[in-house]
Amino acid sequence: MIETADAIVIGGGLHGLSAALQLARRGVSVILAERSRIGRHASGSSAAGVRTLNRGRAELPIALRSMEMWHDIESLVGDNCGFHADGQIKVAESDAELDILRARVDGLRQDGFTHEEIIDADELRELVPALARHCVGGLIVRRDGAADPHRTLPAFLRSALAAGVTVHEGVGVEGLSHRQGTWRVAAGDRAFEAPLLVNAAGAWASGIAAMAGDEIPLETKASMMIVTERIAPFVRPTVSTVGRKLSFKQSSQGTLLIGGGQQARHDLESETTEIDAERLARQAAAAVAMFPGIARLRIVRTWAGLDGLSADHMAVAGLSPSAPGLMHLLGFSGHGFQLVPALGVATAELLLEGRSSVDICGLAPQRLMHEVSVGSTHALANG
Amino acid sequence: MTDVLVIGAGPAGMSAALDLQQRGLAVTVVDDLPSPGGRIFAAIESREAHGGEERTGADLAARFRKDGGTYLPATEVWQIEVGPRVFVTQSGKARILKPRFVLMATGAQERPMPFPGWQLPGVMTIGGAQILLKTARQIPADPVWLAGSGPLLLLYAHQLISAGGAIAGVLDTTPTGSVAAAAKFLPGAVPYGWRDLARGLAWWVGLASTRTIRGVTALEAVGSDRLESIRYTTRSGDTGEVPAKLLLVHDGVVPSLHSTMAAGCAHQWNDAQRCLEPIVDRFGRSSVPEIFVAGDGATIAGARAAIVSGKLAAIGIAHADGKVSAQDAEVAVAPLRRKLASAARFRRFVDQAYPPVEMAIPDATMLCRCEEATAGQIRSALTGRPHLGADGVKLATRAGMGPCQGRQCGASLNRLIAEVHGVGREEAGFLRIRAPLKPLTLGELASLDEAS
Repeated sequence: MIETADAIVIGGGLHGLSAALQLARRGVSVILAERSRIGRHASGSSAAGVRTLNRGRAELPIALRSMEMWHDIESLVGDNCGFHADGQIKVAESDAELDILRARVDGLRQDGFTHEEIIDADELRELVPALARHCVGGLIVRRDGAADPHRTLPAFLRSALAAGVTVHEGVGVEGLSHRQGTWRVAAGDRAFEAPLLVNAAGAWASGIAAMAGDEIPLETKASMMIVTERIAPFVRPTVSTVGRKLSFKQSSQGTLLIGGGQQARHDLESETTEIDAERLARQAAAAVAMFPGIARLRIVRTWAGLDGLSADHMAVAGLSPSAPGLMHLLGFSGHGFQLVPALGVATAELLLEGRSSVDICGLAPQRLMHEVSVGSTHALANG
Repeated sequence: MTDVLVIGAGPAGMSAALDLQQRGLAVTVVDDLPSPGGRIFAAIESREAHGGEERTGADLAARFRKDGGTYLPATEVWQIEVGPRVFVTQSGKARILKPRFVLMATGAQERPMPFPGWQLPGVMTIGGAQILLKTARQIPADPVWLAGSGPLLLLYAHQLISAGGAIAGVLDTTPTGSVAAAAKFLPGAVPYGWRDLARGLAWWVGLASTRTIRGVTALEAVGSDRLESIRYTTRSGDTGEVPAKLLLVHDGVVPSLHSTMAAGCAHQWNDAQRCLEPIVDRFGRSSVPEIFVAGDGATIAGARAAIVSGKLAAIGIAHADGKVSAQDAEVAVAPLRRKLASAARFRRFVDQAYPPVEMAIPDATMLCRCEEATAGQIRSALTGRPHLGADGVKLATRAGMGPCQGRQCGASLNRLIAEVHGVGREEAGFLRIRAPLKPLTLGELASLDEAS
């Protein structure tokens, strides 16, 4: 039997859920097909940074819109998702590094972006007393913060279900075809049909795009995370550095979360990641160098998730240039979490109205595609 | 240069190390304890050996000290990667060992026995109490209540009384009639285990005058800050409550799976022993060709069988390394296999007489003690989500995220998933085991980077 709807979302991560939610709230019937379980890969293993700090220019408009939505996330999904806006800081360990940050802020100001600010050593120390003494200053976005992925996922799932989205777990898409304005999605012995389609298949989204005729090359990102035992309040903002691979924060449970982009071994076919302890040691060494007091803390867990990595490390979000009614949401390159609320809105707007109220032209898939079909400029929606 | 890294210096690890060295392979043995013997022969070098089995253990430890290769005591294995590459810490420093083969001889752990209140101070496992008795001569000041089933309960009761301790009573969860049902396996058990049977009978007789409540089907530890009393229900529906300061529980032992799981070895469900165990071939080789498994970590069979299976794995590794021909290996393992088959017949009797009980887990039970997730929360997270496995329910409830690495809740999570989804225990799956397998500090991990 073929199940029909107005829209089919492939992928039950946060981006798929957010797109499904926004479509459903606009009165669209939505089927979401997830191969495994909701939040199985990148979303469930996210460090949940809510960061506009140091984002690429093309992502900034949508990231800033998303930030407004995070500050009111409870009205969107009925839960505050553990979001707290304690700021994100990029630390400079030398004057040369601080100059790099100053140059960035100057460039942003020229383009009219004022959300990033330079702070000096004194303010840095006040905000992050546990930081090593040699740090000379940093770059801060005070409205940035972090959320709890284990609250965010169920909140988006509950909201999507409440909005009427039909969620199928354990349904892996094996084939796509498009005829007479209708997408047909084959998944084992099931089939779905709808005029609108969202590709939010995470690390596997390149394969789904290929089924639809779009060649969007993606590599894989599998960043490793360390979480320690719980300790008393130690650090409030999320801290990264100019010169080291490090992202450092304390969760609301009191554990320290240490990331930084060191990569696990991974295999897309078996959907697995393997911790690479030698690389993980570099991440730990960076953390200990920046926060000398933590060397004796016990590590409780380590993990890594799988995400799509685009060639320019920037999200890919936009209508297909070749296939009608198809929205790609992929290639988040390990920093898609913050974009979830606003890209859901942009997806619904693009699919239903053909235009997004926020400029995401710079994220369009065409930039990474080898061939762009002629006559598809209608997809280049602008806001 | 190490040809073979043996993880665990218990009976299986020590005997394998001796045989491997003798066959010309360079062995390194790592073990988390400060002296050889494993849990069963803990501190065997510094105490008097009781009985033949302990004398065998003491002799094995002495020979192992002399000819067992490089021995790294008080060393924790916290990660195993393909290669194999094994990451250890010793005295606060991390290092990588790159042997050609790994023999996992990591032994057993007690089957977690969750019930409401089991997290209260004053409740602990019999195995834990026995280690304290063996290594530190710790005898509880007040009479203790024992609850559960299995030979270890009888053994500990005997050891405690011999050491001058007192037992308040036994809450026996052994299913009624199981000993009678086991009788048909008794003839097969006698050749290998007649001494154990005689000892077990003596322990059992020694408990005859102890207050015993039989047919217990449910337990609850009651108390505000610590254990104050125990409530119980029996099969006939009787309930009761007894005051208690210390409750020791036991429901048999299961293979300690974290190392083989982390190494990516395939596992299967052993229904007789109600546990997962690594799949090994006739030589103890796992599904990962460089990794062999011996002793209770492969399948629960006890210390004497572990010694034999260590020898068998040593031949398997020597053969895999080309040191022994296939024909010679077959000849060498034939008598070992006969001994193991004999041990298995004895085990079948024990498993029938003391089958794993796996008491029902009420919703109020704090299944994951580290993260304080109850069985009720876990059941409700699983309900209606047939694709939510162990890792999914972990994300949903935090169960299994804590410092014990799921050692206390992993098996119970597996049970609840099978129960709610109506699938077999093997299909229900186990938590994904990740580094660190053993406690590891940020500084220790960072020391690996400084070293390289």
